[in-house]
Amino acid sequence: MKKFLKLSLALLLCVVLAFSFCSCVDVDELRNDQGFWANKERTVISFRGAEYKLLPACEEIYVVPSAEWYDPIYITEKDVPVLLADSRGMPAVIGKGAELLVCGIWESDTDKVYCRADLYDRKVKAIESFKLEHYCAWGPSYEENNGKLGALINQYRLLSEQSSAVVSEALATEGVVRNNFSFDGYEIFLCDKNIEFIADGYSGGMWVTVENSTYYLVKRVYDREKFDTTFTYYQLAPEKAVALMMEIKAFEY
Amino acid sequence: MVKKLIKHEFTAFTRTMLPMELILLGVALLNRIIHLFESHDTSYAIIEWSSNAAYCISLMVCGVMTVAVAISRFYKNLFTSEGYLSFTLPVTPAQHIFAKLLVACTYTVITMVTVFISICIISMGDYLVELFKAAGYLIEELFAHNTVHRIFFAIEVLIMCVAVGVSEILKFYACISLGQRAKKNRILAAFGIYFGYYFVCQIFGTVLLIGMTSFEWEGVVKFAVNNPNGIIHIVLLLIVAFYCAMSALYFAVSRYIMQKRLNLE
Repeated sequence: MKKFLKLSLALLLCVVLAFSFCSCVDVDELRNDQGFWANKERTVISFRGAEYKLLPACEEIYVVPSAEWYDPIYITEKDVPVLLADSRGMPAVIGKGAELLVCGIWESDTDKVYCRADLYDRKVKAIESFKLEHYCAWGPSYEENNGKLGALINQYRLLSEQSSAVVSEALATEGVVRNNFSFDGYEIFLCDKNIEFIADGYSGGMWVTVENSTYYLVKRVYDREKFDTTFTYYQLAPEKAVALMMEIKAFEY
Repeated sequence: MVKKLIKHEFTAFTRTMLPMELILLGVALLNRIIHLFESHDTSYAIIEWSSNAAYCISLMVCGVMTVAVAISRFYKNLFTSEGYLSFTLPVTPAQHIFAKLLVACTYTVITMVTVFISICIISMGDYLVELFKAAGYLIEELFAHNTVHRIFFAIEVLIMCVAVGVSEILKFYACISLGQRAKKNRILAAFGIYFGYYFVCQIFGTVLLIGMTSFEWEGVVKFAVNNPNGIIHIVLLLIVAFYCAMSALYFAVSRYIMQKRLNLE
């Protein structure tokens, strides 16, 4: 009887110890979404086996969203346990191809962009030399996530040469400045040829709109010192405006 | 004699509670085995949710049964026909109450330990390791600053929890004892006294709160702002003192009923 009891206890202990070696899918997923500050200055992040370095501040830099865009990751100190990552860490989002990482996404004034170490030098050169000479518009697109339909992510697409020429011609004319605009129309942005850099809405946003049967290209200009926004209306030829609108609308599908 | 009383009380408690606690641990183990599979099938999800529900029910049953057994042991042993035997023992009513209270409190702690072990079983593996890491990190963070005061806060909170637990059990005993004064339906009378007492406490508490708004609290607020640690110590100690006083009152009521107004079935 004693032998049987000892054997049962030993077997129970083995079963219990065996569980200790079991991993947990939920914990693995949390670990996969946790990054670490690699230095005290917080200029380097270690995430999923790669290092990400802080890029020089650049408002125009555009991070292409990935399928995980709406699943925030958390950057914490190395000693923070994975279960406390969301409460002790800084939220961040990872861009397409895991090239860029944006920290503090929910606090737009303090957004910082980190670049993967192998692409860092190229990105810094691009920041120093980019030129916003092209135009783009955005339309919704769906990202795949593990073969399933993922999040709705907006992707920018370059306008054709003809449409870009129409916009450039309109901007070369004299416009009428007004203090308000209905924000009803098709939005266009100033960008570089690879859409790596886009002028933000405050000083780069434009709209193709129609008012009282007249087509306009409306450009928003924001004065950061005076906190003042004005809108400059440039008249467009109807057939050119309609062609531009049709091209932008086609991006939505 | 009191030691023997405690020993027998403990044996009686274990006879009822041990199977409950073993069932709880068994359900936790079953739950852990089911979670090993980690599948995305609908049938697996149904099984997983069912096992989670069974575990939650076992937890609730264990908790409720601890209190229920404590009350029923007190009632049956002292106020039913068993009481004729109990009161022939060379033990005072105070010692009876003390023995039952001690075993009830000990079993409350045992149930809490069992629940903790069941949680460890359910999360055994990677998740348990991470859970302990998170707990350790939080404790380190808590005691990183203002360490001495925080250690005393922890001790005071622990004493407060014990005082509240003891007070609650003694409150049940007092209600059962007062319920015996009724000629018929004594258990129903005990329930009525409990809820009536609760209702009166709520009204008294509300009146007190309304009354407190008319006082001048400037001095207290000033003291609290200048001595944040001091005010927390004072509040915690006042709560402990309050519950100790209430426990003494409930104990005195039960003892008085048993000494002077006993009316067995």
